[in-house]
Amino acid sequence: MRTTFFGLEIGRKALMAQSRALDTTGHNIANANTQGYTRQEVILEASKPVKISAGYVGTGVEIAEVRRIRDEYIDLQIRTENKATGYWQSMSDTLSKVEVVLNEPSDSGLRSVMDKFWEGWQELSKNPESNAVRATVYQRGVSVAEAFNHMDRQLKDLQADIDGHIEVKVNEINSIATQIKDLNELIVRAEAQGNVQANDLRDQRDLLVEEMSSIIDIDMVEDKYGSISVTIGGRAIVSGGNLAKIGLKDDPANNNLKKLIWVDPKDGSNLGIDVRIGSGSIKGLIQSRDEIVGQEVMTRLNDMAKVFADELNVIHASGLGLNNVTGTNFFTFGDSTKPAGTITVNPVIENNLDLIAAKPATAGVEDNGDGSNALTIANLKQKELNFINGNSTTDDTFRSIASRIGIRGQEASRMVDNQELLIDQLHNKRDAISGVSLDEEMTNMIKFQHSYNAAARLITVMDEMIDTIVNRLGVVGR
Amino acid sequence: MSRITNNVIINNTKRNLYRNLNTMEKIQEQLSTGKKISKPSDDPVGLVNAMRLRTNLGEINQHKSNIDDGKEWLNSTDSSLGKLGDVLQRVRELTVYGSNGTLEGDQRKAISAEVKQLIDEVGNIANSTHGERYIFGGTRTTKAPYNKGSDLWEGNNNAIEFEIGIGTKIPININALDDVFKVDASKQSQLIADLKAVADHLDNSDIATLSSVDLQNLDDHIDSILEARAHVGARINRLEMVQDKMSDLELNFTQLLSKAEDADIAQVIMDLKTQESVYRAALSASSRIIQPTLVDFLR
Repeated sequence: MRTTFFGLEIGRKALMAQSRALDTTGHNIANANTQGYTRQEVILEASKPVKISAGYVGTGVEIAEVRRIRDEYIDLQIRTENKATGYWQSMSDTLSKVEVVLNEPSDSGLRSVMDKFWEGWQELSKNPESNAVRATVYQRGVSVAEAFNHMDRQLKDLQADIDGHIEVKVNEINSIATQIKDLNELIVRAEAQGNVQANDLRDQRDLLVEEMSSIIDIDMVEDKYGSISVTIGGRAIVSGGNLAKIGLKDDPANNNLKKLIWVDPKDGSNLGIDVRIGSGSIKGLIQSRDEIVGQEVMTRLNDMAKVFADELNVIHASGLGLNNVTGTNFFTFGDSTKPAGTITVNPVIENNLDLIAAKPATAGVEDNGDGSNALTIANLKQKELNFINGNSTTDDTFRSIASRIGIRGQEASRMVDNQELLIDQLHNKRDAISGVSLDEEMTNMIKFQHSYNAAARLITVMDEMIDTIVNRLGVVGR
Repeated sequence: MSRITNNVIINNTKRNLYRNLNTMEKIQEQLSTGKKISKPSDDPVGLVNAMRLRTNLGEINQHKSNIDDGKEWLNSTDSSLGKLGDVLQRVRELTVYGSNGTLEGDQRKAISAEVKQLIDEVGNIANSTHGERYIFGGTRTTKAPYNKGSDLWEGNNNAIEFEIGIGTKIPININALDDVFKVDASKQSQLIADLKAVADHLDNSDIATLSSVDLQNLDDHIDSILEARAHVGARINRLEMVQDKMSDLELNFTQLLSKAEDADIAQVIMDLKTQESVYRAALSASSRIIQPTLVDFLR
């Protein structure tokens, strides 16, 4: 037996459902440009029917779920590519800074200063008696020493600068981890009330995980209550409502540059465990700091300064000055473990230019016109010396430093281009699924509006039917 | 059919425009600097070439300057030897004149006085300088090789060598002590001794010796000087030949350097023009692809 108000109830439910769907359409339009937003869809379903003798009669519509349209596999791909992108971006950044330090090709880099230095010795070989030419040789020696000092200082500054960047990134990781932890708690609470998804909170959390994935490589697992654990190198930084923390420590094994360690989240004390970093922009920063700036440039520059100066000193010390003093070193090191940073022209030469040994030891006391030792020094330019990367001339060694940086810089910027293209494509793929299409939303809006209007009309019809029964029946003969 | 959302279109458009602008920026940098390599990563191989060629050009310039300096030194030597030759020629004339039997003893003494002046001049020529450096003293360039007071020769016979190419050296002084002044182990010059003998023989009217031995000695010395000048001339010639070769090399290396690091302006301008039209096309495509949405058509 159908109740009188059954039809009204169907109309009411339809009005409710269509207006909810309209609300969601509005929400989508409103968030069309929100970063990390996933479009939502109201899933409608027919409510439970009632049985009559002839079969089942529908009871109208109800909302089954408000669903996020998202493909988690694409999220995983984006996280994977994000870390590679972050890595190569850091590499490329550092390499382009190193290129600026090398200052090649130019007429003011170390190459040109060295060329001038050798030319100075050639001039001295022709005019060994001349005080003016001696002063030139001295000054050009100072320029060479200063060029080494300057580059060394710039590279050290660059390493300190990178350490600063690492610190910023670590703070970012810790801050993101805290936010993820807070969202975990909110999501678990929100979803505990039944089989529902906290769509907008999840969007925010996914965005944070994605941000973190470009800084450092992470693994993410979701548990059945809806909270996630994020692990870095096998250790959890967030696990549900628990939080760990990453800190920085000077590494004495690596020139006191910073390394990442796990610290106690409460008091920040060192737990004595290094963070294992696989990739991401932090890995790029650390690796470019140690490998590019450190090994590729600083180590080789130090070796170049040391080998070149030592070899020159041997020849110089074997010769005679204008005052027939022998055994003077032309270059000295403030600290022989840091040749490039501390190389200087021997200070005794500044006060007495006669000490510059242009004469060979075989020359007589008065043979001041013999500049053959200066020529031997000038010819050192063509001599292959024993550098760490094999035997080559000093010029060649510097050229190879510059070209290796060039090759790595080229590779890094190509990788950044590739990665960015890949990430763009993945973002497009995700946008194709999760992004808001205004055309679609407008179409839906019209669809839901029409349904709403129709439901309202249904209620009018029901109203008229009840009116007929209540007010017009049984008035015969009135 | 894949779902194309507004953001997909906008992102793609933005990326393509950025890429075009990036390419334009690179081309414009080449155009404004005139260089195709401005940092190592632009072309690591080209960089090595450019750096090496710059160094090579520096070496060539240095060697050219060495050659110029060497030539100046040799020219000074040549003119001093020329003067010395003139002096000896004059002594020879005086010797021939003095050996004339019709002259009186007083007249020969007068000739002898002139010869003594000329001997003094020989001493001056021996102490010729180039700049402030004595050219006939070997590597002992800061002190006069001939000490007039003691009549001793204090220079040495060491060579001064200039480098005129990688691994190529050339002596730019001559062995004046042995080849011209004939200095012996006791630091006495045979040349001056022979000239003094002429003066003595003139004083003593020893006509027989004047006309035979002395004249022969003078001729030998004049020959030695001519020979030394020939050597100097040959070296100047060699330096000039090397200098010509250096100039050719310099030109070649400059061209190579330009090829290695200079932008081909015609090519770059063509690229820029092409890129400009690509960019314009991209802009015009963008204006069409960012379409009005359905919103614009709903009442």
